[in-house]
Amino acid sequence: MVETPDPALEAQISAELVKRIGLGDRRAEEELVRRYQRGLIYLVQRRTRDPQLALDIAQDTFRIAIEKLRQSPIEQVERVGAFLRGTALNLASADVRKHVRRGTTADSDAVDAAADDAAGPFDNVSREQDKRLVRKLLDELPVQRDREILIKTYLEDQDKSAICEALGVDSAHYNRVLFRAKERFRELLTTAASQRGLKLVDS
Amino acid sequence: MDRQYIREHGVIERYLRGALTADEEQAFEEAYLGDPDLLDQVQAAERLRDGIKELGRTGRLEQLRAPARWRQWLASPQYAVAASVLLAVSLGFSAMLYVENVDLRGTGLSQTFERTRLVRLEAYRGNNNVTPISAPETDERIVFALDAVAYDTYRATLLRRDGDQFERILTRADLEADDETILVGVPGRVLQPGAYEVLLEGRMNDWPADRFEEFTRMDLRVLPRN
Repeated sequence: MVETPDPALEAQISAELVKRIGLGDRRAEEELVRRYQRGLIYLVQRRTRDPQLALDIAQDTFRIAIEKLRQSPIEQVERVGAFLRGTALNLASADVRKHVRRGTTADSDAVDAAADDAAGPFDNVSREQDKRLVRKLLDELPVQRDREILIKTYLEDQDKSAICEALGVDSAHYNRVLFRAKERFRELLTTAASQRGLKLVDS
Repeated sequence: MDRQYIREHGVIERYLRGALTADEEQAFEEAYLGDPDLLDQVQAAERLRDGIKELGRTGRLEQLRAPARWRQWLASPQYAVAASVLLAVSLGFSAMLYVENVDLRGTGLSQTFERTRLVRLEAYRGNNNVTPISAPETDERIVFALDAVAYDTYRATLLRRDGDQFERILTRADLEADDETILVGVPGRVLQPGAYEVLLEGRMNDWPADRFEEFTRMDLRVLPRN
């Protein structure tokens, strides 16, 4: 899977996938699913708060998108992500979803083939582990003020400017603390995920 | 929407709490749809947020949020009492030292000296014996060596004599004899040419604090330097 923090590169990959699917390239269809599936499921799950429903909607979205792309390219070929997002959000509406489920007929080989790739890197880390890792992270922060930055941001949902004013820190310091804390937490999650994976293999 | 914008505008945090504008939300979701690394960041931040909220709900966050244990102890009543006692003792001790320092300042004993001259003063009871010394330099210290008697501690006083008048120059208290000799240091600058007396008193430890016995007086004459 190619990572594209660069919007220009993302547009190029998008246009290429759209073109290849239009030419009947089945591997391009699989690539489309693999590339956007995880994000799409996450996005829909945030809206519906229902993991199974999010999975269903994501699969329906890809079926519809592939059927559409096989017939004709979308208007903005460099924004296939936007097309998928729009389709998924439409499906997430309960009334539309019922209608679409009845009418979905597209070949689902590509969707089925890529379905196993939907798991995220932290999915096997339990919520109980999350709490332990959060405590570890907060314990590791030597400065009380930096702990307050995290707590005010995530527990109290305060705005950045309000936090900076309350704690007497500038915007750059806030960004730095938050960025490092998130990176560290991600590192802790990754380590926990890999250790959990090893235990599963061992057992 | 690029990474810099996302970071500087706190987009992830605002997204997680539903505070993005519609345009920002669309742009951000399109950005992470095709960017697994950005999606990892969002999901990690969400788990961090959920974890902190869960700790907050269960009351465990207060322990982490509180200052370190030593700071908590500093804020405790036990510490306040202990600190007050310690402060009182320190102030008392400092006051004692301050009295001593005033005494030393008056005598100039806290001064650093380039050289030291030892002068033995011998008492000749009944005689009018005067010990002459040349006027010391200002950076010189004179140490008088005096014979001790059978007291626990001693007090030495340097007096300047002008006719029948005496002016106290300095006093050293709580002196102890070493090898039957008492040493009294005097800064050279206080020994201007003239007539002096060194009064030596002694006391026993079980006596009242203000009781001293005078047991000798020695005459000293400081002569101008050649």
